[in-house]
Amino acid sequence: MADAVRRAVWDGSIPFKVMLDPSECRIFDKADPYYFQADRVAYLPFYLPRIYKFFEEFLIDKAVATVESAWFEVDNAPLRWHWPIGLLYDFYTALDPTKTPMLPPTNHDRPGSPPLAADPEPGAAPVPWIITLRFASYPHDLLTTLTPTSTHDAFINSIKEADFARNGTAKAVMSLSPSDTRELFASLQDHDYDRFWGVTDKLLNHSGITVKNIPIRVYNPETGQVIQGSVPTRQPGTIRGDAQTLGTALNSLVPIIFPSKRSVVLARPVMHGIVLPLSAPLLELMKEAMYPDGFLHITLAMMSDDNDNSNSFVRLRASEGDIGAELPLEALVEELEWVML
Amino acid sequence: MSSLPFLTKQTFASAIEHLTRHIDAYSPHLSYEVKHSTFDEEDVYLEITRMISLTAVDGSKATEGYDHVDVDIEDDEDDPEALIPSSPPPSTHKVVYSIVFSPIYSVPILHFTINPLPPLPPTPVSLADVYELLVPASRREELRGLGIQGGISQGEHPHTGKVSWFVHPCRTGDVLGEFGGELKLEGYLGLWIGVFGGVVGLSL
Repeated sequence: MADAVRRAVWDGSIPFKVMLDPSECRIFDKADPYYFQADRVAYLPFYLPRIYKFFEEFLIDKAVATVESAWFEVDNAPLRWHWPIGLLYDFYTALDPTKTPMLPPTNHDRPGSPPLAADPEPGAAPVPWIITLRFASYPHDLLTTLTPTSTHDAFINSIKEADFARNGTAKAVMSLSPSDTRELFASLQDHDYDRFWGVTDKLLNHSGITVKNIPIRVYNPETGQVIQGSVPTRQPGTIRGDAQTLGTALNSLVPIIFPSKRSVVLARPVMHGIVLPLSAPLLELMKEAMYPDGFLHITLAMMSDDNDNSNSFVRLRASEGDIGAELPLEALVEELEWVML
Repeated sequence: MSSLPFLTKQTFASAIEHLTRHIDAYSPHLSYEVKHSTFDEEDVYLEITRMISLTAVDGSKATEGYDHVDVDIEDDEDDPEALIPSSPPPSTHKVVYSIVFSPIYSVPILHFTINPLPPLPPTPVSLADVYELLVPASRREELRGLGIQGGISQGEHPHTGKVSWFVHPCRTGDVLGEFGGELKLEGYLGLWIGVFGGVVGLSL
């Protein structure tokens, strides 16, 4: 299937468990948790109305705790409205897909019961992801104000930015018909694959324009650093204009963390819940596996706490011959399907 | 994209140097600070701080709220006679402009925050407030007509990670490109502020 990777990326989802902050709850024993499955490519505001509705009856004062003042928190960090959910998860859990997932406890939710499992491995995926719904003390310095247009606005800004990176102008976006422009966001809200890619394919294959650069953001969960760049599709300085791979791109963008173009040494690049192969051709990776906002949002799974650091050199040697192999993207599908829970 | 109107991290840093020299010589009343990314010393940006005053339309104090106030965006800053005004209007808001380089657009982006000063309550300003406080009345219509909700959006400051307003940069290259050979790195940011700063009350 030609669009197997796109489909797998689109279908990726994360199980959530939402807890109401105890200070917001009028019942001593705390409210029931709300479980839901969120699309990785979607945004939290899409789910807020139904979450609010569920907790409404537990709220102390609905006049104060309004849907407009709601926000989500995990480990004291407010969850940004305008980051795709998959990115939020990979970033805030510092996800390392090579670690065993943290499976849910079986006798969950008995108040006061001790945690069943020992401390999880760093980077192991928490399933479900437990987040807290809060209303008081909205962190205005860290979280944008949620308005009826703010998510749409942030999304379209990102689409324009990505378009500019790709083509050197935002003409492809500007030349979309008003109905196509509306459709970009509406189809994402409706989680309608065919409608979304129907418009987005026009952006990626705009007549008379060849994609020059690929927009990337790299997120380091340990430091909070976000490195953004517009990476040429061909490696500058190569005589034949060799196609950029993820490895050559990361090596040029974050050389300290990716000293090798072929092997991971200090961190693994993670997107959509899987480790990306450094040999992936960057242009194809963008066309098939970008987030709907046009960016490759890559988080880093730092390897500093691995026991197998001594193997790095071995891995480096062993993989020297791998470069330029067959398109490895199809291999991602199996992994993507595996992480879909 | 390294030729003007497009910049690189390095040419942006030189443009900042040229601008601060210009400010020192011609606009000494402007309060500025050159800052750099926590992670990269070469990734610099410039902060300019301004106090603004609300003047109530009906002459009463600005504590009435935002509904009936107007903004004195002129501040008489260019008038040397006004350096010692007879009765300086009390500042009501602190505006911090941040001129940062976008590695995606390869042009500067203007970020800013606005915070009310006591005795005003520390309520965050809304998008509607931003227009009232900073955007000259003659430019509001034009700016509101852009994009999904106008030419000003809320987002993250690329260096501090804090919430910040910014002016959409997607046409910056096109507009500056029209200056052709007249555009030099020495005067780049001065010109850029002249073209894009005015819409949110920043001038030299």
